[in-house]
Amino acid sequence: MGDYFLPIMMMLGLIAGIFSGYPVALLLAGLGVLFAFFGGINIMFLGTVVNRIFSGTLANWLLLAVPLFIFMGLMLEKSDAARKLLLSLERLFAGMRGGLAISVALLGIVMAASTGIIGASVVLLGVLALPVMLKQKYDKGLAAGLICASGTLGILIPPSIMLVLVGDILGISVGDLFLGAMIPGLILGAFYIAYIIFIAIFFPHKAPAGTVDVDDPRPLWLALAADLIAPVLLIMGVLGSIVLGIATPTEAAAIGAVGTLIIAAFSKQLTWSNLKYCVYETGKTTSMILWVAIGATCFSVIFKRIGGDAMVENAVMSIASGPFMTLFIIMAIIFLLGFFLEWIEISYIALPLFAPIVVALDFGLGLNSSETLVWFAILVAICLQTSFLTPPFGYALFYLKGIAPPSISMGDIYRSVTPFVILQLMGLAIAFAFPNLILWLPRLVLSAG
Amino acid sequence: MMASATQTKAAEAADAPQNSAQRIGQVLMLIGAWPGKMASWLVLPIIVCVMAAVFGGIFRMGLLMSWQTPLPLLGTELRIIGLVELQWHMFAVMVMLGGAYALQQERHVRVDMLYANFSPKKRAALDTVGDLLFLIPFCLLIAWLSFRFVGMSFRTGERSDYGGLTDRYVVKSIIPIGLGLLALTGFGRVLRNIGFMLSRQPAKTETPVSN
Repeated sequence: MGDYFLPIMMMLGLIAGIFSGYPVALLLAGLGVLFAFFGGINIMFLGTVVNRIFSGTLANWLLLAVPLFIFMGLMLEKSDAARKLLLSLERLFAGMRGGLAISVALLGIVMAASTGIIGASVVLLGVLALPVMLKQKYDKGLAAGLICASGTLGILIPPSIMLVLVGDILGISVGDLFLGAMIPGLILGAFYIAYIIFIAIFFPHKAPAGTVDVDDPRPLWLALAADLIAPVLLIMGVLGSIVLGIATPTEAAAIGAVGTLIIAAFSKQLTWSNLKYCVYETGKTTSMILWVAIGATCFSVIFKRIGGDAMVENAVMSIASGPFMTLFIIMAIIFLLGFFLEWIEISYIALPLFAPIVVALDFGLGLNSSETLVWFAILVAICLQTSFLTPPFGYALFYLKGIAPPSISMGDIYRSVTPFVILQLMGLAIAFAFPNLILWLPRLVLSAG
Repeated sequence: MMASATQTKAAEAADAPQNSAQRIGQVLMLIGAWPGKMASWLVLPIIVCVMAAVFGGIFRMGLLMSWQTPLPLLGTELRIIGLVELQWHMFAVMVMLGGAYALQQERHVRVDMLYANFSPKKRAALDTVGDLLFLIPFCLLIAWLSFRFVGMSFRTGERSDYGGLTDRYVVKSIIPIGLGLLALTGFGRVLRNIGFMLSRQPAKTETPVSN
């Protein structure tokens, strides 16, 4: 305890500061400077922080993908593509019990594969689908929970900003992470759909069959094909080019941004006001994310200097026995952090502390260190995606509350996500137990290349 | 957008008379945030540059163009590698200037479990303490240290190791500039909040200036 007085105080300061509600990025930065002072560290040592901010964040070509993916997601949101696709999917499932809910889950998966930010997906799905689902007398809990869960898939299913940052922090290939996240993401999507079918069979009043009054003269197959073509081309352009190794994530993000600009232009949504909205939102969101990186740089340089890393490693090692137990405890900590913190803070504060511990573990599975990290990163990603859904601070829940009719209370939304959080934990357990589900695709592409 | 921001401010001022500390604070925040807001537009040239580099790579063009008079940053030619470096140069500007913009727009993430239930004056007090204890010391100290960082780069004539852009000190100098603007915006927020705490008007939720 005596050895660790300063790092413990720094941790407590962080926790207290976070709960005070002061912006986390600025808190991290300030705590670093403050504890450099308390620790009697030569002020010139803080020059390291400048170097690290420059080379780690600003001159980091990979992180360029962040504003590009954000811009792409915002533009797609404005492009009207999702609304059209939902209408066609509704027609496809018309008359089937739970059909509308399945349409929403499928749209969530398609949107997830075309963008990488969750705020946009949840709001978009909520605005489009919630009123229709309520009108068709869906159970409001099922509707709200499904929209939140499907919306958060965007952060897991590639392309995903979260995976770009996690890959950068852990120093592993973002392409491998994208490939590794695909199967778990699709499994989770399949779980949602299976759950809807289960509800439709056993609680038919919660998921009634819908009628669709679309006045669309096109035959169904044509409408579906026409509305799917833009998202499918976009997904192929962005994901395909990364998977095939033609483009880096940054290049793919630029291709995607151009793609969404074209889609928006075709649906006559590329207006000056939409462009301005997307540009300014991109600026604000990018700064918000990357200033956490800047603040965390300052925090972690000093935290390490006063012995914080060793403290965390000793603490985890002393309560854990065996590699799987250690990993389990780390995942549990990250899951718990997810109740209070956003993925950005968790990624930048917790991952650098835990990653060296995980790499040093021998699971006896014959994984090399980069495979271990890919597996770990995807587990973390599922965990963080789930954290969007966990009350009290699941951001997806707030996003939905922001656009839901007043008849849906915050309590309704909290209750509505419970089954989906359980589904998420099942998915996490499967990914934990079967690392090959994650590693199969990256290996396949590696051996093909 | 400046116009609409000013209108929002004017509307606020009309229904809640502000004292001069609040007004000066708001103006300082707008000044600090404006460069970051404009820097948001860099996302468009970034897209263009990334696409240009992709096509340049496909057609295996090393040298894109060259000219006689040396220009700052570029020297006398633009190669693909220079185009790639230009991308993160713009990104660095967008991020460093954006810190103040995000502050003024109230976009830095908070865990607002308790904060949301505080009275507006309590929130203003908390932000003031935080800005004085964390934000401003960090900005000023790191900005001061970064002068040496920029100066070193300038004196050694640092440039790309790969035949890309010259004058690396130009992009490095965005660090003290961005931190300075963030400190200015933070100082403006402190003034605004102190003015608000001293005002006798009934507690009214302060809304961030929206665009």
